[in-house]
Amino acid sequence: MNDMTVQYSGKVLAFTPEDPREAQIPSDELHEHLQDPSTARTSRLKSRCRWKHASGGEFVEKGVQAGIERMRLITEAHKASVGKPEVIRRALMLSNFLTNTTLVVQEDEFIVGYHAEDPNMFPLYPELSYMAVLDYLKTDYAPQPAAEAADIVAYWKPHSLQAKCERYFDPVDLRRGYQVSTMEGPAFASGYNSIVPPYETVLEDGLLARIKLAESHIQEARAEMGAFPWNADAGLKWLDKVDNWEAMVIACKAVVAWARRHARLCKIVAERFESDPKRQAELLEIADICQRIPAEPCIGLKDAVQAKWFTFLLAHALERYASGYAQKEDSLLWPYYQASLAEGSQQPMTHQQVVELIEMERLKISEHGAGKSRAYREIFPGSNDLFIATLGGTNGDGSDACNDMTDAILEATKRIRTAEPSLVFRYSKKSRAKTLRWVFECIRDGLGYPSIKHDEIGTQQMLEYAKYSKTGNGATPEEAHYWVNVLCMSPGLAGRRKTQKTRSEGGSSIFPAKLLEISLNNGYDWSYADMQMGPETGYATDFKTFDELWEAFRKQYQYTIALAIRCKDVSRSQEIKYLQMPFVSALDDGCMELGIDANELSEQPNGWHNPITTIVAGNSLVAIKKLVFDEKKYTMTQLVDALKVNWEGHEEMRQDFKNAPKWGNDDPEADDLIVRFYEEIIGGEMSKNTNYSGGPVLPVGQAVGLYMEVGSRTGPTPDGRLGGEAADDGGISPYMGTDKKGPTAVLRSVAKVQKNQKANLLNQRLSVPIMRSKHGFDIWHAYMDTWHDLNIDHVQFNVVSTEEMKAAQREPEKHHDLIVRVSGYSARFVDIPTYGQNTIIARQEQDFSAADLEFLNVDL
Amino acid sequence: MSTPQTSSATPSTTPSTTAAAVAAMHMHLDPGTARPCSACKWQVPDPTDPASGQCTVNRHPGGGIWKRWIRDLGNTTCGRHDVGKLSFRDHV
Repeated sequence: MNDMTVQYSGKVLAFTPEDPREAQIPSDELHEHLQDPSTARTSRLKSRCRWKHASGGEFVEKGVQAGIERMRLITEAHKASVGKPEVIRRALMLSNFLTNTTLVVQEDEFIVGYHAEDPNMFPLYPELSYMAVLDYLKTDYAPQPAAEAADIVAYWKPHSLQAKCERYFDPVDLRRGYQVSTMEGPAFASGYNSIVPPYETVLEDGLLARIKLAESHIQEARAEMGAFPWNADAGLKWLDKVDNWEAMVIACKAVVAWARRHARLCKIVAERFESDPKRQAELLEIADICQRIPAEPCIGLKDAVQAKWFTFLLAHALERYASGYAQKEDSLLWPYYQASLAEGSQQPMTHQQVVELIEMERLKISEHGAGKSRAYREIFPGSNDLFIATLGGTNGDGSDACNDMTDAILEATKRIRTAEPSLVFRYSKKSRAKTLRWVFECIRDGLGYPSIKHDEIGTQQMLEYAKYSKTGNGATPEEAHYWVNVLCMSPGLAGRRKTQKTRSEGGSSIFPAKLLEISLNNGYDWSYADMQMGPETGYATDFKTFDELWEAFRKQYQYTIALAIRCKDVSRSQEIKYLQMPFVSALDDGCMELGIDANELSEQPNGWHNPITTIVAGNSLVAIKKLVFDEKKYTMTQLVDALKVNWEGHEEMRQDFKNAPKWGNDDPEADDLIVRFYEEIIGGEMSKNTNYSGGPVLPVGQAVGLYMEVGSRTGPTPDGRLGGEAADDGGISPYMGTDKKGPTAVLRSVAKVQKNQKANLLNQRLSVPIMRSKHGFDIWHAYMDTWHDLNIDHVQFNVVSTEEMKAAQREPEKHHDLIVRVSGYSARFVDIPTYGQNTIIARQEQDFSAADLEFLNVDL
Repeated sequence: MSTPQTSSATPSTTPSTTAAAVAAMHMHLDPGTARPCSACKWQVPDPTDPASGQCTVNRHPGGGIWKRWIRDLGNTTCGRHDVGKLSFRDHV
């Protein structure tokens, strides 16, 4: 029970739990009582789920290990295909793997398929980053046998994407990028990637149709090349296309055969090893599905989910590694939901069976380990990887896109209670109330998702970027409505064509807090790397005006952002030559029509880059301007000297800087400068860069767990922060604990930043008693409508008490179901290091005062 | 940040006042050292390059962990070298 009340609109509002049974649950273990799997089977599957959470660079669970099969089989094929066109070699590598890999079918599961030879393993990618794989060889979870793994890594080093790209960079620039302190390491050095696979094509067409299409294109090409008269300019263009189409055929045939291997395995198990008649029948049903899917179009929802799962494994783990789970899941599955629930369906299901199926899908993701580099094992603490699916929004004709499939996904999410996959909900004033209620219940149960994106902002962005299309075939107004989050934050098209295929198009990060630090010191990093990290822009102790510091920062930012985007485009150029994706290309209608590989074809630009730790920099600039240049209370020399000793002996000064105006309180003394910082420098300078696709690169303010890593590599800063403390936890989020004027003051601050932005992550922590009371939905709904009207891009919520988090720190073994929103993703709290846990505890828990409720115009 | 759960990882300190002793406490190159960073419990690998590392010994009572980059894992040492292995909970 709680005694919280607010006087509002002539009434005294009490916030007792909406469900009176909750009054009996101790408040420090609420999350342990919220799961409610829909069936005994999903309850069993959750109990035995083989999580693969990484944290502090290591794996939390014992027994998680890197597999060797993928490395071995792609190497075999690569050696055997010397002399063939590179795209054909890539197809043969995939084919050899799919033909010979160990299959995994687990007891009790309905959706089959795994990406490594053992459900405790994950594959590695020596063709991407040699450094990332070398790191694995030194760990307790190295692939075995060790000697073979070492030989494979040594073989791939000269052929790797990293080696191909490194030669185009000055070693000094490379070293700076590899630090992960002013910028995220180049993706060619980590292997990190993201993609929006054209799932729709697989479900709608089936792969046999794609094979036939590619074969017909090859025939047409040969006919064209054989015609009289020969014209070299036109004729020679067919060569690469023929190679690409042939590679598509090889890849798709291999995928069909691989799926049918699963069918045979399930049939064998059913007929020879399974004694339970119910499970026998189920295995035979799975066998039938895998025999037809993804070869043929899907006839119902079970087909669709299986086809989608196979496609996910291929696009995210087998053909190439990619983080993410990008799809408009409700829209994608809606035709098959309808087909399965219709009278006389060929694959009949009830709505509750759909909920169970989605719970099982969520648990498959929860077991999906990623062979990521060490950097990425550090920066998503408490999770396997980033998996984000998108729901809601509006259709091409502007109507509400929410449907019963949306609700089934949300219900399954609330019931099974896992950290992954995360969900994004595209919020529109047209979203139906029934679905909004599900969204709210997931949020108030503390899952940390759905995170909310502004539907109209995302749609408008797709149209804006379409203007830069190099092929003149960017998103149409109808297509612009069909967007998803590519990873945590940035919208990108989904569908059969024009989707983002590589992180080189948009992604990766830059760190303003560290850039501010080196801007004070002539571009030198004294606090972490002890080396020159940027151009020599002068020592702040010599600056006579604030503008000199502002310009020094601008120069550091310009250098670093140009380097970061150059890294992406150089990588793209080498991915086009050596990392083709014939399977994914076969699914994209544009790649199929034009005979161009998915890395190369760009019809819809989507360039972005993530500034992370912007608010530490912004708050620091505000404090410096006020205390050094405006009020002259301290000299810059005094400030720099205090920073160099981590404020030791200067506590009064530190408190002055700590108490300077802070972002997130609707305070013009902070907000005016910080808005200018976002719009003029963070976005304004970034947008001057043009990427491979011909469009501007725009900022997507983010954090994931990088605010912890970069914080630990950044010394003390003029916002009053101590050296090594975490930075701000989200692209536009107030620094932990400094947003003291209530949740609507935060909205008013954030709404001021509008120009030159693609997206900005806003973390907010809401009061558990308020959200779980009978007034919770109305307050949240009014908050969301206000957020929408203020044209704010994003918001995501923690609804968790400090009491419960501290209890989990004391006894982690009793709090396995406690999930928190870190930033852009959710994690199991007890699998996050103490350092990170403390940052979430430090976040301001927002109550709603009468003034807040009035601003939101809540009708209670 | 609010009052944090303190880490169980607390580095030991050896008080000394001479300049040489103070210098020895800080990270420094010492070719062939018997106490290299590569064998120290406070060292974690570099996020990108496995030939380098990060020192995590600098831990503030308030909870901050101020890392330092280690260029040469095999030939760098400091006065706070210690053996053992920390849990993931004790890292960033």
